[in-house]
Amino acid sequence: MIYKNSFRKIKKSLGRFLSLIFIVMLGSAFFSGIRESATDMIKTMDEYYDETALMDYKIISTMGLTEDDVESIKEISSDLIVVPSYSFDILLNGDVTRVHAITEVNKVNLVSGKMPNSNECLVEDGTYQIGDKITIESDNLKVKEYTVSGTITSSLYTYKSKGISTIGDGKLDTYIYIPMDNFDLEYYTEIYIIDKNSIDKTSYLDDYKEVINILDGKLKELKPIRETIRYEEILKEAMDVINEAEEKLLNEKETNGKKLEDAKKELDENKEKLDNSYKEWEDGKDKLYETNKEMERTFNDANTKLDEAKKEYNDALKKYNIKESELESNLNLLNEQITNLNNLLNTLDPSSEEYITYSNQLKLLEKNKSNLELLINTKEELYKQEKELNKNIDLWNEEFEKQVNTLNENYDKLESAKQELEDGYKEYEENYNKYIEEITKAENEINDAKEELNTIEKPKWYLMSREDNSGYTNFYESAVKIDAIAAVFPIFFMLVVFLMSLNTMTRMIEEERGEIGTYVSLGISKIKIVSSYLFYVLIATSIGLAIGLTIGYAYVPHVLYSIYHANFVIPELKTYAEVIPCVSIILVTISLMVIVTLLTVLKDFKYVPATLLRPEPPKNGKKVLLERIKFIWKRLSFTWKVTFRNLFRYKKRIIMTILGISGCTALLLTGFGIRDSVSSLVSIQYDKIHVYDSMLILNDEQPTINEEINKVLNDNNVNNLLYTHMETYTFNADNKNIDTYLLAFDDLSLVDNYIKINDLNGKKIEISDNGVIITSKMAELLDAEVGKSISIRNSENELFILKVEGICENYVNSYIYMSSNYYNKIFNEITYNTIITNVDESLATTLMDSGYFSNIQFTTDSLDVFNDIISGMNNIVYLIIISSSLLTIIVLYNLTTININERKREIATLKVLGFKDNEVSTYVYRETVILTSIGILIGLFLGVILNNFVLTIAETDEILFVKNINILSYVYTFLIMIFFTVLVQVVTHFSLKKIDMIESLKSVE
Amino acid sequence: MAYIEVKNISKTYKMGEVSIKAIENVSFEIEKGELVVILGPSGAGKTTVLNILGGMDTSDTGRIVIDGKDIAKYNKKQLTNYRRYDIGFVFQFYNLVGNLTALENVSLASQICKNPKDSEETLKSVDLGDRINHFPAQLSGGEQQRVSIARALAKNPKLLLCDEPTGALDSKTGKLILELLQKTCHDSNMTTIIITHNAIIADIADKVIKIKNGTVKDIIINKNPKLVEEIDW
Repeated sequence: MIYKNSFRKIKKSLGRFLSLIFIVMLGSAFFSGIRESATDMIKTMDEYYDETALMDYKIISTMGLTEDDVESIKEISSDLIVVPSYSFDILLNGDVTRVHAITEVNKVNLVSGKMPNSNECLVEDGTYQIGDKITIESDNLKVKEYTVSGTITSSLYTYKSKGISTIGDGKLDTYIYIPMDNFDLEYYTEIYIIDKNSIDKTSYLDDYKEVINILDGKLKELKPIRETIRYEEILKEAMDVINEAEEKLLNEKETNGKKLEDAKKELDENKEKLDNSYKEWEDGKDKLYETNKEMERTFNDANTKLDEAKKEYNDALKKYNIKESELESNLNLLNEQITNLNNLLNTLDPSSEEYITYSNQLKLLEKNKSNLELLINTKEELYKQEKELNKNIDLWNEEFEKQVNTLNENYDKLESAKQELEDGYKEYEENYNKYIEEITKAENEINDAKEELNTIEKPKWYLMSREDNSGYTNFYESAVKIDAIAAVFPIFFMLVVFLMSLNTMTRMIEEERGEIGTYVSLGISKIKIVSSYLFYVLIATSIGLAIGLTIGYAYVPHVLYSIYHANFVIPELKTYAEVIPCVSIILVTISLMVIVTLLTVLKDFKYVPATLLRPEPPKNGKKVLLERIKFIWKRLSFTWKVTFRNLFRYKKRIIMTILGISGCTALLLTGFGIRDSVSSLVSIQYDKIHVYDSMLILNDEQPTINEEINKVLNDNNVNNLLYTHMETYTFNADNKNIDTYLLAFDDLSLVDNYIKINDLNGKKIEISDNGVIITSKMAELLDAEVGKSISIRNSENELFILKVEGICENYVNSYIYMSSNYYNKIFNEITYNTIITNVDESLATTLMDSGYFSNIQFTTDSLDVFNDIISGMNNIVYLIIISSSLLTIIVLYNLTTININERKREIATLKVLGFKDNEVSTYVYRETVILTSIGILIGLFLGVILNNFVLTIAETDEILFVKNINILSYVYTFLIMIFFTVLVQVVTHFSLKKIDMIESLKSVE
Repeated sequence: MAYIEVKNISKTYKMGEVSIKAIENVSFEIEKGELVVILGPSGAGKTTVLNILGGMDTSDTGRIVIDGKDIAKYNKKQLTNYRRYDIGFVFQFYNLVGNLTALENVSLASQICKNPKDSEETLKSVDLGDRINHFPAQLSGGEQQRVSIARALAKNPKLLLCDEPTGALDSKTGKLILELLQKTCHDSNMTTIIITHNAIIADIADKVIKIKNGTVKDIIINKNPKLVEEIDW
């Protein structure tokens, strides 16, 4: 029966019932939604990481990794899955692409297509199409032509910015996976490690971190050992190479040197021979010419003789006056005459005179004839002699010519032999030079190698946990951490909700005081009465919880997640409505409501039924404090006096209203404040403090910056170069090792162009040579003050003590600034590895191509990351603003309704007295407005505190939030609150209008 | 023409499907300065008459002329002004604002009038001159009712409407209140209407209007109204 009444009550006071439902709904939806979002997001990601076997650790080394390294890691613990792999970066179609090997760790997530065969590859979803041909020109690969067999996503690359590369513009654009066997590398480029103990732990959470910290410790122990072993290996390898080279050089010297020597000897011998031949030839030539001369002389002599004989002969001819040509005919004539004479003589007596005469004549003729014959003989002899001579001359000449030819031939032969010899020498010379050159080169090489051996840097292992993966960290930073901020709200929210339901219930039970009295007097047990109210409340709570939890679990996480989905390549959200938090929300809410109900109902049982049946005596009017201040009170108009009286009449209402309104205001302001903080954090950090555009990370550390680098930069109009030594150190605070960046500058006068180092009052601090300037968050964590010393450790865990000379404003990360001189005092001689300057992003590729830089960091990249966080943040802020607004409406409506209900009679009386509608409204509003205004003002004040509190909680070791709330945010908050106040007042104006004057005539029940 | 002329007023309340006739064809006249008692048992319709006379409700038919003005034709705003300037109302349960002093309660009403009486004087006139700064809770029922009367009088109304002014008081105190009302009526020529179910009170009135079942049963003019001390209940 009494429960039936409860249902009636619901019907009768539907507004109150609904407002209870709504309060519970809003509270539970907000509380569960935010809680669940964080849980769902983390778990969805954790499951994704587990499914894809995302490595816990990745080890890369400056000198590659060996099978021994793998084995040594495996020895750490049998719980480790250790998988070596390969990867390298290459420019593919203008994109910096990382080529990965497919492994069992960091499994890819096939979006479409199939896993690849040996000449196939997998590409990032959204880049290439299945079937596309890709040529990877790299010596690191056995197979260079690939066909895309499938598209994938990877848990290694969940964030749109995939990390850095040493090629291209320094930013990794995409990735490709190919079968492991296709790599042709001497060493592994990386080793992935999964600790089996971490699999059932939830990523991001402390459990996981604990496991990883243990692993981290062990790996850090192993790191120097392996580094040294690897170093020695490399040294040994290098030494072996050198030794081999030296041996080879020695051999070379022995064999080739000998050969060359022999060749030289032979050449020299040949030269001597040739020289002899020349001499012989020369002798022969001389002899020949000598002979020739002799011959010529002989011939001349013979000629002379012949000429003399000819002369004699010619003289004889002349004497005989005979022409040579007539000699024969004369002889013939003579012979004829002789014959004729003889014939005549024969005919004549030998003694005849005639005969004698003729005989004498014959004798004469005979004598002539013999003369003539002599002449002819002489002539013939002469001719014969001349002919012979000429023949001899000809013969000689022929012989001579022949001999000269032979000589010439021999000469040519000699010449060619000489040429040959010269060529031989030349060749020898060349070979010799080459030999010397090669030997020198080899010797130099060996020397260089030896020298290099001394400078070989120890290989460095880089231990990279998931925290070093930008996707992993950014998801946490932008999604989960923001939720952590939002998670502070539900508590506050629940508090306001609790107060409101307390208020509503108090009012309800006060109104039904008489009814309770009736029940009590009718002898109905208290338990039954209480349970009837509990019944009422629990119905409202259950409905509210049902709707609220549904919204909270099913809707809110998806809305929040969708905000992050845009910037991340992540799987669909999975909802893990865990029983314990859900049940605890239900239990907490229900017990709160029960407590509220019991508190209010049981209060009434203190009275005897008769008292309950009588109306609660109206509260006694009292002089308010203000009244005692006569000079103010006197000046107040009557209506104001009334207002103040009314105001202070119901202290509970004042407290409720002010608490409710200030709570909502504080929530709203905090919502705005968080947004302000993060956005001004970015603008202050990157527009006011780190004003540089870029950091150029050099390939090699150098004591003075290479002139060529300066030239490259100057050629590209990059000036004012601030040479910096940048190194990560850690400091210990709260038992944690926190990273800090040490920056030691070369030219202190340039620093102000790029980094504004101001103290917390905005006054510029100069870096001196006697100490360092540290950033405020670091100072806070270390409890450091100016003049004190702090200690930091490098990656080798060496401890350094620095003197703090200043503490400067900074919001993101921790920095230590110092001069190069101070650096030299504390550490080794400074080397520079970074140039801070302003470089346009369009120059990135050009500069990277120069090969001097391993990376170019642009401030805009950091800004992008932050802007993503901010956009996510904005959405949460909107959520907060909307929820706070809803809450504000409920609170205001609730309070005003209660106010009106409590004073129905008073208001009706006023109406009867002839108060106009707006006078009545003003009479009520004035109080509400004053209370609301006070509430808003207190709320703004509380908001600042809450904002600081929330931001302090949300603050990481790296980020210091700017806790200044923008003036506009105060204005917005104020205006929103005023708007809702006005809105609610408009609504109440109409409900005031509806109050029936007849109410005033009713007896007080 | 009478100071107040009520002619043929009727009122039907619709409660969903059911129509309830509260009053029907009620007519009467009241002269200026008269002390009138409207008498009737519970549910007779006297409160409806009071509501209509007091400008808190409207009549479905007829006219209510008060000092030459027909308030039956008034709209809501005019009715508010009517209540504000012409009516003084005394409630059965006093309806004082608890957190205002006696003086403030009186001022609350007078400050909205065109031509109010001085609040303090008015309180003095109801013999509360020494309690003006007391809060209702510090006053007895009779005193509270006197504050209520003072509040009504301070407005300097044309008509004083009293709804069971003694209903919540013991008879001794009730008589004091009635005395005050009668005295005020006669001394300041204040037209006063007292609504009551108590027939004894009727004796002190100049005119008694008896209402039963929503209609006027009888109008009795007392040639010689009794003084309050003469009656007893």
